[in-house]
Amino acid sequence: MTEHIKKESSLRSYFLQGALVTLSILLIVLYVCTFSRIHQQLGETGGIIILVPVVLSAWALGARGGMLAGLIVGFLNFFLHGFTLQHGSMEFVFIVFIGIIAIIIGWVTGRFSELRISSLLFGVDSSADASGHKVAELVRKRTKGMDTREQNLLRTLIDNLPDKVYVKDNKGRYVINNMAHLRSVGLSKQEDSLGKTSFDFFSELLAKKFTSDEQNVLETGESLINCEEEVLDAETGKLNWHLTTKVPIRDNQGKIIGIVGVSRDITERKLAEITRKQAEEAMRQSEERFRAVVEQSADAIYITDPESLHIINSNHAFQKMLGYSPEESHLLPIEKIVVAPFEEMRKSITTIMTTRQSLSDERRYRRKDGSIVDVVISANTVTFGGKQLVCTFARDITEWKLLQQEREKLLANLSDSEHKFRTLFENLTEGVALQEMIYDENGRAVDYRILDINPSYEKYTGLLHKKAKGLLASVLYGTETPPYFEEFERVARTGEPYTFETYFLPLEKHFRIGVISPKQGTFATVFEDITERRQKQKELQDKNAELERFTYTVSHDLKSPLITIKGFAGALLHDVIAGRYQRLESDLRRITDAADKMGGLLGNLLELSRIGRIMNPPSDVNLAELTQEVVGLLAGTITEHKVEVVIRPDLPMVYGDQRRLAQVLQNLIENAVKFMGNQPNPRIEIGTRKDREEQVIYVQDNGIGVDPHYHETVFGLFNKLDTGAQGTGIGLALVRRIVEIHGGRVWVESQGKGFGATFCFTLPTNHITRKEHEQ
Amino acid sequence: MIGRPMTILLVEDNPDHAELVKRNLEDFQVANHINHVEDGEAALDYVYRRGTYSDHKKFPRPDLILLDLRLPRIDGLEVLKQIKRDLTLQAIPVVVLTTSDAEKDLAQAYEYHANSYVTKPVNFENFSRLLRDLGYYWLAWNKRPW
Repeated sequence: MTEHIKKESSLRSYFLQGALVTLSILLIVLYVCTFSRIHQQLGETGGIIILVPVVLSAWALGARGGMLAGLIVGFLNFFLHGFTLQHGSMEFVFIVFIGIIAIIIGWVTGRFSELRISSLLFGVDSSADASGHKVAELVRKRTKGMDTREQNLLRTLIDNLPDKVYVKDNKGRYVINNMAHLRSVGLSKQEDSLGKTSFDFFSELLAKKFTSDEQNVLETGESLINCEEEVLDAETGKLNWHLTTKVPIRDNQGKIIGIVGVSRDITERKLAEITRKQAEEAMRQSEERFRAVVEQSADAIYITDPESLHIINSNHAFQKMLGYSPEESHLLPIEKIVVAPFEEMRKSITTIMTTRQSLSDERRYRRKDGSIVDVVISANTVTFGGKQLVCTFARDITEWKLLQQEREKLLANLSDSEHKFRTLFENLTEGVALQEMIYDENGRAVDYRILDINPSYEKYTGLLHKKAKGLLASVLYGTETPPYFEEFERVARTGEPYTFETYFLPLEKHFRIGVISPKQGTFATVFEDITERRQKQKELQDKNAELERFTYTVSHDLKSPLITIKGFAGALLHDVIAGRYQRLESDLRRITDAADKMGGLLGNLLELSRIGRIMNPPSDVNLAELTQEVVGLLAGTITEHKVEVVIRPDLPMVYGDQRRLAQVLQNLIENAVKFMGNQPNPRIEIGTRKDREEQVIYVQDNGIGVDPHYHETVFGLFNKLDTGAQGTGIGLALVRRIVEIHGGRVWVESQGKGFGATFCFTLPTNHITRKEHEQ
Repeated sequence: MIGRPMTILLVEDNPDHAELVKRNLEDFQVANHINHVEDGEAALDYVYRRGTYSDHKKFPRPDLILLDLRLPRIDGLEVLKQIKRDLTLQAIPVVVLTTSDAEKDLAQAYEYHANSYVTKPVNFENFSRLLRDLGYYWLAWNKRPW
């Protein structure tokens, strides 16, 4: 395009120059021809007219042409005046002056004309440099034909081109630069570039290259088209790439007088290209690495074409797993390897393709030899060569599967034994609790936590599983030190089982507790409620004691009257034989009395043995009423001894054998009456009081009292404190027996002889409160 | 052999038995005095010469104690224990004469250092012979340090 504009402007410029020069010559000829007339009319000043052609030709030919024109015109004017002028005359001076003026005007106009044309084209005063003159001249000539508007347009266009445009003469010196080129070499004014060469702006190496390129163009006349150059940009200080075209400039004769260069900055394009190349290289490397990973993967990896369902790529592991060669595995239909209905397979592939979500599942693959391999797969879509494919990872899990089966079997066994254990645990009649020791930061056991308890435990203790589980023992039982802590701690520490029997006060029960430690720090307690057994044991012990007492009685107390009978009978026999009769009567009485006593003893023993064996069914007993009845029965004796009897009205309701309880009261009251001694105001009070939580029933008298020594023995069978006292010594023994059978206790309170005695007994709470519960 | 009067302390709550013992012992004339008490308390009072038994002439130190076990107030075993624990009394031979042939009583009596343990025979002939033998043995044959 630039080429075209130049050509056109050159043509126009030649035309204009020619016209102006011709006009000038015509004017000069006209002036010469009409000189005398002009001289006559205008005088010497007429010579000024001659300046017009000077101006015109200078316009056309430039400063030099203008100067030459001025000189010619000046001389012509001088000659035209001939030698009529005298030296030093006013006329002579004027003519010379006009000549000089003509020369000056010629130069000025020509220079002006040159500048105008050049600047029209390139904004450069091309004539300023003598060496660039020819080129400038040429340019000037070539733009001569253009009108100002066109020139302006052209100049604006070139100056604003992003490409660098410059003109050099045949010596490599810059003649014209557009703004882009000026900036790129670090200049701002056209003049600064004049006379400078590539060596002024570029590195030596680069400048040499440019110079040699340009020399080549100048010598051969062949253009250098689109040559890539690496150039340091003076403006930005960056290395840029240029795409340069250098074209020779020829003068009218076709001689090469310089070059025009156009350089385009292709740095960005170049950089983009480099980046792209690097990216491609990185991609290639990454692909290679990826390829290596895929190849070396222990998992089988293959790519399936979702349309044909053929395997189009697979790795070594895949081929090894299924026994195919790389060639065989290429384009292998997946139905050959996947043991599944074809439709199902297609469906899962379609799902992966449509959802774009990875699919993980277990599959069975068939090897080339027909054997089966269990695999776990993970499949997803991949883009491969612009096509959506399915990439599948498959891992051989045959061994894992076997292990799994083993494990499941083990687990099944385990859960079976766990189940057995659980059933046992749940159904044991013994209470079982599993506990763990709690240690403080010093490793000292401080408490224990309940981990699990079985239903029997709940039943025995009344503590619910959900409440007890996870609780600290000290919290659960509400004690500072958890129950049996010492024993449990020892077992948890040493692992040695330990069994003990204990009475657990908070529950009022006897327990037999077995402690075992399944592992350090934990322990299980197995306990059995032995309260009943304990009771039975105690009953047995009581029975044994009673039996012993009975044996003793038989061996001593029953034998005693027998000895008397036989003894006195023997003595009597001796006396009779000897004819002595004075002791006969008393001895016989002793015999009779002893026999009576024996009979009485036997009766009492029988009675005693009946208690316990023969009990009446228990019922609610109103003790107040019962006492009234008993006192009524004993009215005779009481009146006889003038005893005042007081029955307290607050006597409780009790639950027991009414007849036996009446016997208790009767014996105690009789006893009290019997041991009144010499008391002038005998008094008996029957009442009740609360001792701690126990309801105590008492029979109090103000009789002889019981020495503290004998507080225990008074209740023994046939134990009489006073040989002379009446009775068989069975009364209090009977009382004790009955009260004990009811589960109560009996004792005597007395400060000793003369202080009276209070016989007390209790009936256990449940015997008293059962009534209240039932209500 | 018989240089001084012999005293027997009979501790027996059963008056009939006491009468039988006394009669037999008197028949054989082995003792000069037979002092009878009816319970353990009285027995201890006697040996310690307390209360009614403070008269030494009337109630001399016994040369033999015949002790029943089943006694009111203080049991015979308790009496035995106290006598044998006392250094001044322990030399007195104590023969347990009881109706009981319970193992427990027998063992207990020897534990308390009874000198002998005999049960009253039911048969009268045996009863007589036992008391005669007892008397001869303890009061005639047996040597005493005093």
